[in-house]
Amino acid sequence: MKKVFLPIFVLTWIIVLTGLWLVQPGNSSSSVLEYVFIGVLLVFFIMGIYLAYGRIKRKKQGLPEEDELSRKVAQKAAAISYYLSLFLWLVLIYMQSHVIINIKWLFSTGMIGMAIIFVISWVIINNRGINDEK
Amino acid sequence: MMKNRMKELRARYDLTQNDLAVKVKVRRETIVFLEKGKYNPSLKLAYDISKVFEHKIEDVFIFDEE
Repeated sequence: MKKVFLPIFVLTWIIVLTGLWLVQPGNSSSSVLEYVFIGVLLVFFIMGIYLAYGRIKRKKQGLPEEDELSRKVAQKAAAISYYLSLFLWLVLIYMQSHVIINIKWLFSTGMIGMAIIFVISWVIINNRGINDEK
Repeated sequence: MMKNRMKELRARYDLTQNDLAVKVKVRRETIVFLEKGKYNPSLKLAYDISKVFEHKIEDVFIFDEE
């Protein structure tokens, strides 16, 4: 049951932090970028609900919430997304030194970008499977 | 390359992918990937699957040297 609470805990934090971010003072000027961030967070939220539902359903069927394949997929996705995120931050640092960029925009883009890279890596690896022989 | 006879043996024992998943304590998706050859199991999982089918590991998972 502990493992079912993890996605719920993460989802709760996403909701709370998004709420705090939206109601913070001086945040009246909603740029297009902020709507993009909210959209991305919404997609993550829906995905989180889907994953939590899958875990609860498996639990009811007497199947484990995670197994050796799901752990390997998560590990490989984390490794690939870490590697790709380094390039993302390099590009952002390069942009920051050559173009005038708001520091809030820079960090928001970096963090959301990292999350997007992880989710895409996870979805691709989860669909393709892991075959170490290739 | 590793091949396996899981699908054939599962049919012989009249087991669904879900039944086998419950018996070896993995998700159904893992059984799907194993049967498609998209994932090579750990030694423990290979042993558990072979035990369900009452065969030796090398009879269920066949290593093709070519």
